[in-house]
Amino acid sequence: MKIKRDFINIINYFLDIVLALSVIFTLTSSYILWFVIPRGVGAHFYMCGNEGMGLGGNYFVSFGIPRYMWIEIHNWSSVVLLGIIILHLVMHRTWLVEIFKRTGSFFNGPVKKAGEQLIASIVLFILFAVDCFSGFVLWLLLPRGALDYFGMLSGGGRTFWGLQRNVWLDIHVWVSVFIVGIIIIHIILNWRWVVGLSKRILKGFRGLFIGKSRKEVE
Amino acid sequence: MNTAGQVKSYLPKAALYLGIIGAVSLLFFNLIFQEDWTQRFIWLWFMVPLPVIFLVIANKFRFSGGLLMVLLAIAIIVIDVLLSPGHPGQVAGRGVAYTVIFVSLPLLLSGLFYIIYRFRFGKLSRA
Repeated sequence: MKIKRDFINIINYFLDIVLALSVIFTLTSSYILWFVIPRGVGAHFYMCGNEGMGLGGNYFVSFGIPRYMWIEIHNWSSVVLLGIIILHLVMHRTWLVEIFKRTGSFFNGPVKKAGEQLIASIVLFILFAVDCFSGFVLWLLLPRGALDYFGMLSGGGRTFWGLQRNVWLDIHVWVSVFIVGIIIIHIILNWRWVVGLSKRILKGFRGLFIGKSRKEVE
Repeated sequence: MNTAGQVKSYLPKAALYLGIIGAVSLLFFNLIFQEDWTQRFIWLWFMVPLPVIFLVIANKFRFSGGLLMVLLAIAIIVIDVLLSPGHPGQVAGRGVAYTVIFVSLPLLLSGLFYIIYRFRFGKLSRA
């Protein structure tokens, strides 16, 4: 039973590493798109074509990769991230069920860490859902076009649910900033688990499995 | 009654977490201003460590730290209104409304939570 739990812990640990890597990929690409090579760099109309991928702004290069490729990297790393987060939730389904059953007890009396973890996880999930949705709107429903720029300025740009593309973009970027903040809190709250399991894994798989099973037999 | 080591209220923890979120948001607020690309707002970098410093102060002196956080939240709105790079839509994330909701509000709530905790649980209570 304990070996099975250790095994699940290790799977969770490595899944979290892949999760962290895809978060880093997504955040790096978004940082580059937002601050290093923002689209068109002010020359929106003359440097971009019609709908979809423009000409000028999308060919600015960072780290040898043009902007339109950074957009693809951002989009697809986000899709991978979404998949891993769903897997992460599935792997933690027992914890989720248990914690929701005991929710009432967390908020009566003194502060309990489980209550903090629950709130942080729910907020993170909601924000991630909002970010995913706004990302899909920007990617698939309102893809950028040069002519949007002047439409946007006059308030006559394409809309989805009454919001122009630039508003969706603003929501997308600020919600992702909040997500970064809550990820930091999420890591702080689970720090003991991360450090403890890292130490055990660094000692080696052999020691982890064989050592434990021997102890259990004894 | 709470036993030793137990925490009375979620307020200081909530204030700390909101302060962390506000600190991250302030970093990006600063980066948006740097998109002006004229180095006019390079002095804004001094603001980035302020929320962390104020959180450390608030950990020891609840009222002073909380008050500093509230003042920082107000200062950010004033800076955004007075020094606006470009116009909304030109730079992603630019706009006074976004600054108020995503940068000032977490810092303001963080500061207010510290102040409320100070008055509700007294000077010597610790989180």
